Amino acid sequence: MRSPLLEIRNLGVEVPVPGGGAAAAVDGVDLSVAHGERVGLVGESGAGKSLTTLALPNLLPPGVRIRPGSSVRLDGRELVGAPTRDLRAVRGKRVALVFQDPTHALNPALTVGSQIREVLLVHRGLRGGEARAETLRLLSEVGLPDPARTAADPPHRLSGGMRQRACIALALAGEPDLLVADEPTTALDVTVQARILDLLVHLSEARGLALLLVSHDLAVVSRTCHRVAVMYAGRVVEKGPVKAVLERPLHPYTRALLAARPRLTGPRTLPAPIAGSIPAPSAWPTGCRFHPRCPDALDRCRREAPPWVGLSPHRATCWLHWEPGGGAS
Amino acid sequence: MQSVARHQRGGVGLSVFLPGAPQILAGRVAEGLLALMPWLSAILLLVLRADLVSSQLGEGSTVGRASMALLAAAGLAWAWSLRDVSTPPEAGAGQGAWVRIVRDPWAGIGLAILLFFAGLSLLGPPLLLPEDPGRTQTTEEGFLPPSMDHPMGTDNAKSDVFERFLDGARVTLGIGLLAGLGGALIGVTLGAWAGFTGGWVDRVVMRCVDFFIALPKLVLLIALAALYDLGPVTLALFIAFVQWPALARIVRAEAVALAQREFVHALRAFGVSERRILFRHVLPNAQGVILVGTALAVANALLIEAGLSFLGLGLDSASWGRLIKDGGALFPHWWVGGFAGMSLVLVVVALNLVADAVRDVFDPRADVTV
Amino acid sequence: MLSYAIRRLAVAVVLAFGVATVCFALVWFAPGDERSDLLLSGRGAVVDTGPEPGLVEAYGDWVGSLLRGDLGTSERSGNVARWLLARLPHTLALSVSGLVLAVVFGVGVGVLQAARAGTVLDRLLTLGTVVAYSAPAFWVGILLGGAFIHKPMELGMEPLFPLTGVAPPGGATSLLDYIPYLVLPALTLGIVLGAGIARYTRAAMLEALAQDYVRSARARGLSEMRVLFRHGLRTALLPLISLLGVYLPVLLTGAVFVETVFSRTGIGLAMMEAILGQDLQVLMGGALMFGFAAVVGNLIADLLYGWADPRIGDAVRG
Ligand SMILES: Nc1ncnc2c1ncn2[C@@H]1O[C@H](COP(=O)(O)OP(=O)(O)OP(=O)(O)O)[C@@H](O)[C@H]1O
Ligand SMILES: [Mg+2]
Repeated sequence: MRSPLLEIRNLGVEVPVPGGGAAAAVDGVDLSVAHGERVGLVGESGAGKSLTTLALPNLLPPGVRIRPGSSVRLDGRELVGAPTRDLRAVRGKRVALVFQDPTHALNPALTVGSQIREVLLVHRGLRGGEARAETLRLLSEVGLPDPARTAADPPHRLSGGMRQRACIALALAGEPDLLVADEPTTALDVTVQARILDLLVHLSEARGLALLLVSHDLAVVSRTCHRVAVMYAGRVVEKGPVKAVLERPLHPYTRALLAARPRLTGPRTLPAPIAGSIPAPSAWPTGCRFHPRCPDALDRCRREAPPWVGLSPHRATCWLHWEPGGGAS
Repeated sequence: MQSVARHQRGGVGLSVFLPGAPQILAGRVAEGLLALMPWLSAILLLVLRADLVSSQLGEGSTVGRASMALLAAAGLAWAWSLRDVSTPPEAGAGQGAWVRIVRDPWAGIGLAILLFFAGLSLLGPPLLLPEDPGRTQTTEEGFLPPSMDHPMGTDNAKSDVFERFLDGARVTLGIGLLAGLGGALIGVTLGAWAGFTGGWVDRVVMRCVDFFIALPKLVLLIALAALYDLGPVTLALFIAFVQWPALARIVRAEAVALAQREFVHALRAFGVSERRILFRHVLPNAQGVILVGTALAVANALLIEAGLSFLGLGLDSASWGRLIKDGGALFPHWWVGGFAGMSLVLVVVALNLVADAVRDVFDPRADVTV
Repeated sequence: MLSYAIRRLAVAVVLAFGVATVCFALVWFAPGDERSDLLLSGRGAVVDTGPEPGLVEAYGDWVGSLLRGDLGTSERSGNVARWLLARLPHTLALSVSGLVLAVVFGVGVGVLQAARAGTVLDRLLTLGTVVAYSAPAFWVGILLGGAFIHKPMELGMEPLFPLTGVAPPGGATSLLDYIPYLVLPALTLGIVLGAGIARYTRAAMLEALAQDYVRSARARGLSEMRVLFRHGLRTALLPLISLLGVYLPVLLTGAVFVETVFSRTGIGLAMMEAILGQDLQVLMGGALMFGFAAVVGNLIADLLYGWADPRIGDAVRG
């Protein structure tokens, strides 16, 4: 098998803490994405999903840094600690990002077309008529009905869904191998959401594009991705093929997430919200970080960090499924 | 904990001799300088003019009163600093807006500069000038460089520049303050009224503001000063009159925003009168922008007064602007205009530093351009 | 856009009218003989027939002659409009070059500060711009003149720039001859105005650079220069255009002081000389010209803003 396109090993991201010092908001994340594969990253607000995605091409905000000992490899090449020059050649060209809020992701002072042409020039050296033609092609590829008009419009004339399509066109302009989309549909209407997700799947299949899709909604991931990783308090707590994780969740947190979803079919039970929320990175509990909210927490969960359990590829970190001498493969 | 205690003990000794120094070392520049300045000036006065002070102290003369004031201020500063150093700091105490402004090092420097010039222009003339000044104190020669007799040298008319400098400080700072505060008063009143009332009042006031802001006001002031004989109060009034629009615009924006807030509707529902809502609830909420605007208005007014005097159009009496004009080209007689020019810049810088700090504390994202 | 322009134009006309009225009122209510001097004798028309005209009549007369471009005549300077127009190029050259320098300095320093925010360099520049922002134009001019002209002369050297005036004594043979005379005056205005622009640009850039679209631009692999200038500065600069409209009166008044300091024979100095020579027509003519220049400048700033910001066009169209 080919080596994975993206391989994250032991990624840690440190954020400044109000009283001074730093806390690891992302703490030892392992994750890989193969060529053409679609992987979902799921978790509540504050789990560290966005920081994980921003860390890949090192776009972290000022004061936030990648912890030493982290590794992010793209086709085997290490990105952590790489000079900005090399990172710039990766950003947009190999790894493209799509953000949550399309309203603010586009420069309001420039037309959509000129922002796309800028990327075409920087990464593919296209200019003039060639660049214009490619811009129109990209805009129609993402399903915008009137590419010529859209290209000439400033972003504020587009609707939210159209803007997100324009952002995706921008992301495609550098012909990347991996598209990282951080909650690309959260800011949109429900009906538009579904269409954007279908577009992402379509593009991934048509172009052989790998996708890392961040969401706090397991349903979104289940309809788009091959594999899923569930994050809680800076750590991946469960990962595996989407079908397996959804049908036989191992971690109590994953189960709670599934239960928290409103269901349209089956018995009309009220969604069971998970009590409480993720604490701040500086105040993460010892042992299993989910234990204060876990209905089945054991004594051991409070003291010791849980090991990986379950059969590869579907695994979780939880004491409840641990059998001495077995389990951990 | 221990190092704090040791620091405090050392602080007590230091503050006996230099009240304010421990505070400055602890980063509280403003408070420290405010204590240190009267202390140092009192000592300087006692050393340099012991004869004058001892003969006049307790007398009802201006010199006597000024000396008393300075000595009292020094005593207060000493007592405060000692007390401040010997009481342990309370954890997390004093994070109110005003404390934060005073403790901002840059604002502290600004406040200290302002206090220095205020003290100098109020207490300086009686204490530092010869008893019988004789307004145009004639010296032996014109254009003498600074010396012990003439700390700022003499000018072409053989007058003592230091004397003119102190007189000028009174005129420039006095008119600046008067005009700035006056302009602020008009601006705040009109702006709050317009913003809070809305409707046609708002439209009329704002049209006037737009008009005034677009005018080259100083050019019109120049024509005005050339055509009319202005006394200090009328001059201040006219300068105030070109100051108000900027402030009116800012305060109006604030009042419009506040007038739409829920608590104002609630107050109305309780039957609180409009005027009371405006003065007791809306304006206090706008104190940050008002303070910033006022500081900048005073700075502007100072510059306008100095500018008019520089052109020979201000008051007939002394002003820093006139001194700068008489200084002409800076060389070779740099002392004639140099001190006044530098002091003018210093005072305006101080006002800007204070305004910046106030803005940061009250609204870090406010964009106030005057 | 067109209706926006027309509305701005209408506002400008009203403003100009207001300026003229303020000037008229200044003279009408002045003590002494000034008002009859200005309102009657300067016209070259009948001086001493009949009673003095009333307020309304005089005002109508004044506006009428203004519309014809007639600023009256004076004994000292002859036709005032012609006299002032001859000096206008020097004031314009000073204002425009001062403005250009101010924008270059201000934007350059502001961008540099924002790109290096929090460093020692940023703090030093912040302090420097506060000082320059606080200094009146005449004092900056005196300092520059002292440093580049009078100090060298005191030391027995050639001054770096000519002492006073706008052109060599024999008259200029080419446009280049004017430049040495323009350097220090323009620099003075550039420093004074540039400091304000730098303070503004730094704040606006910091705000722009914190926006999501700047992060997105970085995520696309654009170079830091592109991010700073094309994405950060562009949005930061839009409001600067309208700020320039606000600065225009400052620029013009600055010109009066700078012309006085460097004895440049522009309109500002003409006004000062007119005050000394009791030449009321020239004084008021100069005030009017500055007033109109401010109005026109504001109009240009408004129009530029509407043209540069696509959102305004839409907002106006509704
Ligand atoms: N710039 C920052 N400075 C300090 N702390 C930060 C910063 N950015 C993020 N954090 C903290 O790191 C933690 C993880 O943040 P992150 O944005 O990655 O969460 P997320 O999983 O993307 O959540 P959401 O669903 O809300 O987007 C949060 O607790 C947040 O408070
Ligand atoms: Mg997020």
